[in-house]
Amino acid sequence: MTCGPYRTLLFDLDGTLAETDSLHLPTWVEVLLPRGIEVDQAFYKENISGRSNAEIVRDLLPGLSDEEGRSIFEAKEASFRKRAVDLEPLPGLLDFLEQVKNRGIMTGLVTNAPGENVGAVLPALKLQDFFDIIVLSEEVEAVKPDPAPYNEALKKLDLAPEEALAFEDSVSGIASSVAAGIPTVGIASTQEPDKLRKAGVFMVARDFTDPKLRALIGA
Amino acid sequence: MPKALLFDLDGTLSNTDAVHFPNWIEVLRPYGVEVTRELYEEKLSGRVDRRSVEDVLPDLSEEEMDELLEREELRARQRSSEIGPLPGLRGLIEAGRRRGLPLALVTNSNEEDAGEILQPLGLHGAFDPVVYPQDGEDSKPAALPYEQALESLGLSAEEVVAFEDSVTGAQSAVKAGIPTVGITSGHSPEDLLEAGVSIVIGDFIDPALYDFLGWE
Repeated sequence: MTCGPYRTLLFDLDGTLAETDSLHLPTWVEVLLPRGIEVDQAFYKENISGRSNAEIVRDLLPGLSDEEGRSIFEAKEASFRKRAVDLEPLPGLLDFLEQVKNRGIMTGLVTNAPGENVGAVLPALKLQDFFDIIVLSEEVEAVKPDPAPYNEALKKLDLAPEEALAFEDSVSGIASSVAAGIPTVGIASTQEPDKLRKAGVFMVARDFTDPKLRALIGA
Repeated sequence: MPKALLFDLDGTLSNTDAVHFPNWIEVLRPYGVEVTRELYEEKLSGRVDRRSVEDVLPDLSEEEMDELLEREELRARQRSSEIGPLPGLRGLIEAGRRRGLPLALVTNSNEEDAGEILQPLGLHGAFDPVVYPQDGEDSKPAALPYEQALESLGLSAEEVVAFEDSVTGAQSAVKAGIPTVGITSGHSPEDLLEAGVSIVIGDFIDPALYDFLGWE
């Protein structure tokens, strides 16, 4: 029986450890403006947020060859990585993770982000080498909302789903962890709490300063 | 199947009787009062306040009464932490979390007292949202506390299930239109059914509860 304190925590990256939309948005502005597409906040939410690069480029710039498409999103990711040095962790994250480590709780990162981006974002958050395991969707060859990335994390740690606790900020991420059977906490950094509850989280926190989260790790 | 579970605190999460009966035996012994089962059930179970103790010990000064009540509270808290949550509660919370259900607390205790009850049970922070009594607003048995919980969950009454051990608590949830489970840790099944609960269980291990929730 668990119900806390949990012995393993699994974290999404974008939007959960740090608010990265504000870097992705100007990056898309930079990449798409030369092609005659003006990206603003509303356009970003509607057409870009939460979708894969391949889908975005196919929809917004139809008629490009695969190779042209790839070169666009490679340019986009390179530009994102340059901006990543300015990233800040979500409020309370580093304190929370320090308590996690002090209690001997295992941690994993489970993300759809490309490996190169993870390599740029974690050092910016001072979290390089922090996680016991990292699962990249590109290695599992299935992206969230598929449960495969979370299933892979459980397999690597040799855990049953109810022994772990997941942290997610997006509907597709929550769909993935919940389908893997893992109790999930919603971080309402980009979405409304109600939307996260409907997606299947049992608890919502604005960020990691919320004292409810400490109770889950027995702090 | 319910979309959220709403819990009362004292008596619903822990076994009130197992705490308070031995507790009153201990606390009243120095005053020469022998607490029998009859005396306990008649005067001291359920919501105990200054007046119910005055009934048993009419000659205490105000200061002595304060001291007695303080001692009673302290020892009750210590007993709660030893006894822990009602059997099956942790399993129910875990099963609810995996189903993504918000677990709310609807209590007549204030924030400080609630924290002191939840902490020794290992349930501090397990509930969100938590509805505490508001100054000047109706508390249980009025429907208001449960209506406030429904509002902050964005759910309607028939979409949730409430757990209550007391008649006044059950009345509050039932008046709000919520299907309610009665926990017989302090009151008789008859009293709870009369208050309108849909089903009575002794603790959270009872498989009838899982049938009632529609869970496998």
